[in-house]
Amino acid sequence: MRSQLNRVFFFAVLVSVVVGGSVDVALGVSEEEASTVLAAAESNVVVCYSAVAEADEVGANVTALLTRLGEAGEFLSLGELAFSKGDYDAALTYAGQSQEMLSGFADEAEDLAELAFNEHYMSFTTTILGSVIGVAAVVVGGVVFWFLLKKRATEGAAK
Amino acid sequence: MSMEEHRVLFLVVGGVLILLIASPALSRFLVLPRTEFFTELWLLGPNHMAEDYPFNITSGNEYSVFLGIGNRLGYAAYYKVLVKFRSQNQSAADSFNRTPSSLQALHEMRTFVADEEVWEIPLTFSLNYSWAEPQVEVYGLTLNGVVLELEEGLIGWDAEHNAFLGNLFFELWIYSDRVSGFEYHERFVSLWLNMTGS
Repeated sequence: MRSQLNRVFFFAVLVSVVVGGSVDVALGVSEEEASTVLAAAESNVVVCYSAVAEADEVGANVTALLTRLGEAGEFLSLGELAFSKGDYDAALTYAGQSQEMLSGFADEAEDLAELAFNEHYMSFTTTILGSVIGVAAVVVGGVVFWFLLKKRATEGAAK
Repeated sequence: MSMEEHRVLFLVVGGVLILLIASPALSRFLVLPRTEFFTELWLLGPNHMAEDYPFNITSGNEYSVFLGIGNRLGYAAYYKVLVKFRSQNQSAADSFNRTPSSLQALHEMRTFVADEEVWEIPLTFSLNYSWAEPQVEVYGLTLNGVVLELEEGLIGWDAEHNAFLGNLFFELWIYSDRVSGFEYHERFVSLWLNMTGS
């Protein structure tokens, strides 16, 4: 559900950037437009951060994703800076680059989380099962061995 | 050796064997809980040591330091470092009251750091200022090639230290799900700079 929403959200932002970009050639980007696209880019970064945080929580290796997210964050910061200087064209460009960098990001984070969860589950199950079987084997083997020893000792004493 | 003596030896060897075999499973449960969750923020000099920080500077010259963040929060965090510059009589971040400076940030740097990981970047900066006795007017800061303009950059003479002191500082903010935004993370690092004429 979230990945679908994310796709729709990304598509909407992409359209606004492309449409905004072509209009901007003739008219220039307005403060409002730049502000809207920057806000959308910021929201997208937060959505992606939440996805990566969830993946991290289940033990996924998120280093590569965090690096990519960091780069998108840098573009966003540059966009904010350009906006504060009144350079709305540059703000829009940076926001677009940030969005582009995060294309398909949430889906990748979800896949990674699922993979990590399955690996974690498998490893946990194998460890617990292995230990339980091992302990049971030692206990049963020990009891059997003990009774055999005892039996031999009793027979030896009887002779 | 009697059976009774055998039994003790048998139990000890069996117990050790059981512990050895169960140790991978036990290690999953017997983990000491982490009790301290925090973030480290540091500023190192140009040689990557806590020394030789730039102090006496000249206009337009470049200086370098290292800024780092260590995440010990137990989760991947989204940080924002706000870059600010102030004179001695302007609002400062307060370590005791744990409040940020009320000054507008000149720039912000966003970063995402996984738990138990660190993030560090080299920062190269230069300040552009002019002497207008009895004060220095700072009109620009260039940080890693990004030109930042200062709106209120007047630095007065500090008679106690015989210097024109400006303070470049970095505040750490963190994204919080609770407020769906950034909160001041109660940490900052700063550099006092003496703006010399030559």
